[in-house]
Amino acid sequence: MILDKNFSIKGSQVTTSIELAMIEIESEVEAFLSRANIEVLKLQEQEGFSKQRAFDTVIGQVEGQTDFAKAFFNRIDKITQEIGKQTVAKPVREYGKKNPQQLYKWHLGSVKSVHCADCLSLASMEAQTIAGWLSHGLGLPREGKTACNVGCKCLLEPVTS
Amino acid sequence: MAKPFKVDLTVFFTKGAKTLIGNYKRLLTLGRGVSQDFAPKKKVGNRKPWLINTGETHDKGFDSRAGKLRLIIFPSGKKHSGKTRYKTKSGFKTGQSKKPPTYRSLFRWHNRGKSSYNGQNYSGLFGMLPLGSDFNKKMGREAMRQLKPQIVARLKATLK
Repeated sequence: MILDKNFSIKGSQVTTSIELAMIEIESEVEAFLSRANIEVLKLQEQEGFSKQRAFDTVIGQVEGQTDFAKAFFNRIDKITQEIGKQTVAKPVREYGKKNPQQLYKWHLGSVKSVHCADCLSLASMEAQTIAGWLSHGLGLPREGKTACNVGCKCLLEPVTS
Repeated sequence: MAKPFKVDLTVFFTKGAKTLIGNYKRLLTLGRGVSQDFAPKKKVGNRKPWLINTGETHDKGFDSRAGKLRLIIFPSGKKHSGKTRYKTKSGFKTGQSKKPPTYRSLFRWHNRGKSSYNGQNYSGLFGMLPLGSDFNKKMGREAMRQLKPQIVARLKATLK
């Protein structure tokens, strides 16, 4: 995936993170197919299934994403999450740890519904340091400790005196 | 040698690009970057009116290309119409520039500043998916939706 920020990517000979993920998924699928063959043999030998029954069972497990197929689908999910780590922006929070004396105001985010009671009360308070906000026991915005949970859209805005 | 699996995400990306461009437009209106940090407040030159006040950059400044496994969202290379709208003490003042910039150069300027959140580099628009986006999860689901019948078919072929 390319989301052009610096506008320096030219031409089509660029391997995107999606293409890399697809290569990874394909190798996982190849390994999974070998594993499926082993599963059919296992069912025939250990459970005494006929070849057709063992085959149907394995196909059912693949379609239902159960038993041995579950691990494969979990690995695919991990690959997808890895794409997310590379492409989704991370919150700006490191600055607060480096500058413990900096004061911040709780800035209410833009929401379609109403703000939760926790956020409203915190937004009415005066500017505080990161440690000050944490002392209330409701964490920082978007951490999921307020009533609005992870749906919180608030931010800590630095106060310049 | 077995045939490679076919995954075509063009339709998904075309739809997804519209959603993502909508997200970027919203961030532009709110004056935020992809990390939800605040855009530079200090005006540099006279570019801010180009970006927001006429609404033209918001409406026409985004472009995208979608391929089978490729999605590019970028600022349009077209030129701004040149119509400007400045906020002054006595109200708004409109104008017409003879040499308008491209939308791309406007966004390049926009992404260049220091964030008013922490004085560090402003995360800006483009470059990353907006904070909290679940686009990658949806993409994974769509890819698996296309892959699953192919896996089952390959399985049937290898086991028979």
